[in-house]
Amino acid sequence: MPLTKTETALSQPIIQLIEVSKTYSTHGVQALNEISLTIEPGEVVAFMGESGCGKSTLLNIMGGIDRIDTGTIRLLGQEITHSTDAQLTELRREKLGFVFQFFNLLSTLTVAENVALPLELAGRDSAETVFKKVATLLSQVDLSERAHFYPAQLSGGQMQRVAIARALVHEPQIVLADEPTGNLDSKNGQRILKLLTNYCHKHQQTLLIATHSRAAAHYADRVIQMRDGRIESIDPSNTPTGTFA
Amino acid sequence: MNGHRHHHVLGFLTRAFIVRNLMQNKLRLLLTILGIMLGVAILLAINLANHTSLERFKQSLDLVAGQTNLEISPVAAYDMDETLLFTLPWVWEKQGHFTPVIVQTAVPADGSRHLIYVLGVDMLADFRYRPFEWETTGQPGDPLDILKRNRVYVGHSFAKQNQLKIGNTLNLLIHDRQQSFEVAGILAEKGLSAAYDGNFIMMDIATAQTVFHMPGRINRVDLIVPTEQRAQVQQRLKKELPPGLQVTVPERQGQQAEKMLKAFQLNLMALSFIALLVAMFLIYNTMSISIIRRRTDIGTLRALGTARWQIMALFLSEALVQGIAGSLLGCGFGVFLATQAIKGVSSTVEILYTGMAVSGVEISGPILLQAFLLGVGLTVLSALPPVLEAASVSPAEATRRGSFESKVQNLSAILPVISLILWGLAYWAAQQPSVDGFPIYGHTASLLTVLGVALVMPWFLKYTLRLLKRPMKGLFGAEGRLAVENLQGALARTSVAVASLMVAIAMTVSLAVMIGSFRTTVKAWVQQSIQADIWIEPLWRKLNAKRRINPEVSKKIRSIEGIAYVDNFLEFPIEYNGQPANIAVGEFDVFAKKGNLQFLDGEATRDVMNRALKEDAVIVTETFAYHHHLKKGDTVTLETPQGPLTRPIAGIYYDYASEHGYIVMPWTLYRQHYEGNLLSGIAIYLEKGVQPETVRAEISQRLDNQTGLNIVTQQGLRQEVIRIFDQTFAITYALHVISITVALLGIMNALFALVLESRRDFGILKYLGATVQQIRRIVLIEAGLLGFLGNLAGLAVGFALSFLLINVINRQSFGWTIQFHWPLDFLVQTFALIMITAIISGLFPAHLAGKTLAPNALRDE
Repeated sequence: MPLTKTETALSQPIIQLIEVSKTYSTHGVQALNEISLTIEPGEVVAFMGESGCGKSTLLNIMGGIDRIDTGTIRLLGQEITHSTDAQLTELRREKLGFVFQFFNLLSTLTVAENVALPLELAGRDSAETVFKKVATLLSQVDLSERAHFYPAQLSGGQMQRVAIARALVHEPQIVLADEPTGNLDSKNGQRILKLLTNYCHKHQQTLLIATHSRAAAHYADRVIQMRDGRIESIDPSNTPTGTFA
Repeated sequence: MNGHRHHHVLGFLTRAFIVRNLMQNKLRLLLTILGIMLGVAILLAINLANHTSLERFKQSLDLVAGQTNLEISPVAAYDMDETLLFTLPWVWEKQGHFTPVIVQTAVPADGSRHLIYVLGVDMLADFRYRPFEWETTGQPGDPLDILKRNRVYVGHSFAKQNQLKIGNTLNLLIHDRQQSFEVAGILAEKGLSAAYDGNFIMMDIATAQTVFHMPGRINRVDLIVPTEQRAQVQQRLKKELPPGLQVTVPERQGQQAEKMLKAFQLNLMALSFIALLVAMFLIYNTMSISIIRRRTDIGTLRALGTARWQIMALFLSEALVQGIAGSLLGCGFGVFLATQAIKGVSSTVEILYTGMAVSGVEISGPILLQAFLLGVGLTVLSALPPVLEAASVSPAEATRRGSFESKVQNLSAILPVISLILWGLAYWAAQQPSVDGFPIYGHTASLLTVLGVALVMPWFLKYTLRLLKRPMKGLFGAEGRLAVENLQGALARTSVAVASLMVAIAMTVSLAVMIGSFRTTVKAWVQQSIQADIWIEPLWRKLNAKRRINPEVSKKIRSIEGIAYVDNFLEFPIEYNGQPANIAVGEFDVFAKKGNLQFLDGEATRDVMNRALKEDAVIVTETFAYHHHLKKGDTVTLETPQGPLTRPIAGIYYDYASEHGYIVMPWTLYRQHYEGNLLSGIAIYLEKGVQPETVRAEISQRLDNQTGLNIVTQQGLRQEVIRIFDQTFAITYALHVISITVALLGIMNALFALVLESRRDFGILKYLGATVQQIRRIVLIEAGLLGFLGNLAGLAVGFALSFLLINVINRQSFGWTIQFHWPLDFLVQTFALIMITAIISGLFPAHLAGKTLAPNALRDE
């Protein structure tokens, strides 16, 4: 039985990594090297470092999309180290939301259809509920008027807002964003980060951002610096509960 | 120097761009090669089977003709008077020779179903015409043995098959009687012994005349004249020969055989071409996918200075490699398939045309080469449109993602216009007459129709898929809608996959409709025209229309109680205006009372027959009238032994017994102009209320259970006709199973490509929480949709093509009128089968899609 948001928040860390290591067998590259980390509910954490330092791998592992070689992962109070694919899929569908650098919208679906996708894959909500949730989210990301556009008809910033709406529509407890501003200009990048962090703070959602942009780190409660698959430093300069105007 | 640099660049690009790509997509490469292989194989198999059955027959004719360089034979009669020989001694003065020949058939009494060709010759003189040697253990004991009655000389392979030795008894069914012969000699393996695939025996002409009820009659005179005298002798013979006889060169028999088989073989070839056509779509599919996927790379190469021709050379070489590999394999597999196809082709040819069974396939170098070149050529040709497109785009356009797809989306509005033009051309072609008896325009019309539909496919799919979105979501949830979206998003690829399936289904459906309609028409015709209650014919008459019954049989049974009428029937093949045809002779008065022929103008049989009797007229079949452009009231002129006979046509009736057609005359007319009184069959009409089985038993008894006769009731005969019909078309169905297989390979190939292309989307879906099952389901739904849409289009086009097949191609090839009939059960079964196999073909791609690793899929980006 999955824990509720409040229960998780009160009882234990939302994510816990203990001595996690991961090596890519095809290239023999050690992507993560004995990483131990605890993340609290509602926290916004930025993972920084150069390309290839392991931050995307770390995000994938915390998102149950990739597997570790050694160590332990606890997500929402449950150990997922040895979870089956089906369990991880369910976890992603119910509790996690993803935002990517290249937006990764399905080009054949409209904006509204892309946003509705996680709800439709879960198949729980009625068409009416889906419509309402999508409409709410689209209005929050200021894209109501673009609901019937195809991704190719949008700008980069707009596409990323759609991707954010899609990541949030099923009210996940954790949002994982991999270089969410990497493909945007600085103005749009700022806007996206503001939108994402404000929303997550407001809804007590945990937000994990992999980035190598200093500006992005500014929005985080905690900045974790990575290098060669290890955590180099942790900078808790920001307050976990802060919001940005 | 420059050339050397070009070579170096091309070599590098080929390795990097083509070889690696082929190696990375082994499975799709395999599917494509398999498709080409099947297409080439089926074409080759049919070609080889056709070639074998015709060539063996022609070789047999050549072997039997031997050294003969002129032949005298009747034009429109069964045999001729041997007294002709007394008028020929002047040939000797020209240093020439002549000899009488009887060519007949018999059936071994052991129950084997193949005919044996029997050559009746002058055994003392014949070695000059047909040199042969005796086998060491097969030398005739006493040279004078050959003059004794009932001695036969058997071919090497026939002796081997039947374990015959000198002195053994050989029982043969000759016409309507069983006769025993003593094996007096065995011919050595080479030469004459190989005629008719070894099913060959020789006997002295006197014996042949006796056993075949041909006293004083012969079938042919063979002549050998010095080459320099040949034209002169031929001229003189033409002038001096009695009416109804012709002098020809032996090669002519081969040409006649070719003519006889032409329509059948050409149409079979056209059908086998379908598999190759479907394979072409498959190649087109593979090549376009392969190019679309690398369009961005092409743009980059172009931007870096690669010339257009280099891009074209690169991709054409990819097609060439696949074409060569597929065609080579196809040649190998085709030879194997031919050994299977020969059974079907040969049995049809045997039943309908030559009466000669053929075993084993004759491999012909030119035919193999032709199939190989055709395979390679068509592969390159099918690759040409996408290659030209790829080479023509600007570097900037090619590097834009999805630019080809949007091009197709835009084109989908223009393509229907081109389709309309093609259909207009198809309509025009369908109105054109045949060329030299072959419906070339009919086939062109079919091809144009199919091409038109293939081009309209993006437009059709764009709107159909749009319509399907909602119901598919309702049926299968998010997966249903995603499947529709995926197909819609890859319209270029979806169109080709659906089009290739459409072609195969359309061909199958059109043939099924044609064969179904033909079968129903023949069934109705059999019900109407076979009115006799009992039918007597020599055993195996179906294999050779020359087999005869003694007229005594007819006399013996006439008095049996319960028999109302007896119709003596005779038929024999003739030549009419250089074309094969048949003469049939019947009791017109019996026909007037009991017959039920369907005349084209609807006139009653009774009226036509009575008028024909009164005017000494003939009736002809629809096919004969069609081939010779005749109508009711026109006249036919026959070369009879009594001179030319010109008679009016009293009526034209529907008949499906021979594509070459019949001229039917009453016995009174026949007797005035022809000699001989043997029969082909006897139709018996019973009095009302009499049981056919009782009379059949009585007939059997009266004829002392004569083994050489087949006595069948009306029902038995009707069933037999349908059985032969089904056997004739069996090979057609086999051909189409293969076309469908090729098309399904196309679907699988397209699905692999879609899965490959959708890797990124599947990756995203996995991030969004889609289960492995959901992703698999999406691919399976796509497979089902492709199958469904291919089926839908295939059915529609199939119906259109069946009109062309029935009204144009069949009409121009064979001259038959076929009533339309929809074989609903077959169509439903085909629909279901295609749906199931399409979904099955999606299983493996679905499995691959399910295995997509999300991070990898997105990282590839």
